[in-house]
Amino acid sequence: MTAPSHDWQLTAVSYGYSAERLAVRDVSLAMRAGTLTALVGPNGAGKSTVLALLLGHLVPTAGSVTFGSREVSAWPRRALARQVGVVPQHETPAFALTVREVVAMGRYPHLGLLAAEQDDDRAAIERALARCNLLTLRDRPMDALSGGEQQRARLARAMAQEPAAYVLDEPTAGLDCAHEMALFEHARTLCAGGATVVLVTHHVNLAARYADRVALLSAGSLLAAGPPRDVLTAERCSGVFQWPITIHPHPGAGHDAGAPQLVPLARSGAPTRASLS
Amino acid sequence: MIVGVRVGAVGMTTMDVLAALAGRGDATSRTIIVGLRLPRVAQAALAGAALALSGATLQALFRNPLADPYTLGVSSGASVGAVAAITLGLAQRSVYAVPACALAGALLTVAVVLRLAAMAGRTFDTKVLLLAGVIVGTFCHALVMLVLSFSDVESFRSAIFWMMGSHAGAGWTSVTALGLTLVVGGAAVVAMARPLNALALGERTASSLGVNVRVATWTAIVASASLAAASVAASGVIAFVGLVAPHLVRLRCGNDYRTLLPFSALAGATLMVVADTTARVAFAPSELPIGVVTALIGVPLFLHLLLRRGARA
Repeated sequence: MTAPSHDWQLTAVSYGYSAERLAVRDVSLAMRAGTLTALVGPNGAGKSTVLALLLGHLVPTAGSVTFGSREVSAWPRRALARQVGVVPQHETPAFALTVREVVAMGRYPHLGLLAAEQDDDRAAIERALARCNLLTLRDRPMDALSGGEQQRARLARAMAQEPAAYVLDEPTAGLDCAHEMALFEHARTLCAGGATVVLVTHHVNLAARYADRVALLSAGSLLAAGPPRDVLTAERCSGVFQWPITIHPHPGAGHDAGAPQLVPLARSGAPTRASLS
Repeated sequence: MIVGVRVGAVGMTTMDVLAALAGRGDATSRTIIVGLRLPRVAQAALAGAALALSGATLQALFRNPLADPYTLGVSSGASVGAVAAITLGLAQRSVYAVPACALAGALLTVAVVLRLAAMAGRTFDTKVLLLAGVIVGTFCHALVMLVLSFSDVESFRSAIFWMMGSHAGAGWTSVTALGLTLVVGGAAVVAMARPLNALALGERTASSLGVNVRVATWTAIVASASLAAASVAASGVIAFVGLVAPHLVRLRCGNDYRTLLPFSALAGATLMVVADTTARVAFAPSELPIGVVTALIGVPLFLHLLLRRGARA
């Protein structure tokens, strides 16, 4: 990781799928190496659009998105893929590959069209399989795996790319709580290795416990960005999610002690059940 | 292949074949072997390989196990070209007329399909491409029927015969043309094995793995269309091989395109030679349409493998 910089910088970025409705409006945000930035916000806030802009799938209609020293759109795809690994929300492959084949695809950006895998490629694949606990599943076809295992395989594929930055798009969608925790801990480990990590999630509470910075989006605009306890206030969250929310400090004793946790309240007059006794 | 060369309406022994290949033996055997059977077997093998490669490539591109050279409307386009050549009498003037018109028809169809998808603003949306392919294919089929309804009896027979698909017309000229296309197109798709693996997962994923989706998609489309068109131009419309050969390999060897493509080519060639040989000898001296044989051999085999895999899983 001796690259001079693998930070993202969004400067006054707007993007509109149509002229009158902007999906992202005037967003300025920096994502720095060694930090985990979580993009949170209600459905339709523009989180996925920001991700697509970070990856160059979309080109901003105004403003600029740079990665390292260049505009994202100026990066050749292969060169960018050597720098940025992506864990997609979901994938619907037409044909099931084995876990090892999927993880090996992480080496594609490092290989020429006809070049064979070398020792260092195989080593990177083995490391990624080991770190994601997939060694015993390596020859299983993907469609025989549970949702959590499939997601681990996609994470391992991104790790095999040995990139300087990671983008995780709702990586915990549909996973049970143990897999969720494990995935966030993996993301933390990647940061500790110096990587820039950007994560989109609906799990505001997990983001508050694991992310260095939280960027709260609403209706295409960036409402606040910074350390979780500064961004996630009861008033702001209640406004953004349009629901009464209070904030409690996380009771755990670890690194996340005191992290702000959103607790949505029952609305007055809502249908109720007999109270717990 | 040796068996394919040996077996035929006129009885031959393996020794006759080897003798003819070595340039000895009696003149009649030599003519039958070198002039008729060898090019026919060669053409069947090459066409089978080309269709299988084309089918495997299109399956990745469309992310659809049912995609094959016919999905893009290639065969229908080629039929229009060939039937037009036959009924307009061009076929009598030059032996190259039918293959040339078929090839032109196939490539024109692909161009129209891509243009339609581009006009819908979704060039790389595989659903739009698939739909455009089906629609253009149907339109071409209607054109063929229209042309045929105005043609004389002799042209009609000849066109129908071509549309059923056959390797009977094989000669060294068509074999050479098909072989050259197979070498170029086959090299192109084999070199694309990794991008195809990535594309099979989706365009966004492919892009995040460093694949230039635009370039890869175009290369795959042009290569697979040329392979299918060359095969159709040489031997007419033979359905099923392009769909089934890759699937047979998928069931055996998995879905990694680096192994899938070469083995699909082999499977396609084998399937086609077996089918053609069967078509020639089953009711010799009269011949069956090869499409009937490919379906009769292939469908039960495919179902068997599919059901066995289902039982294991």
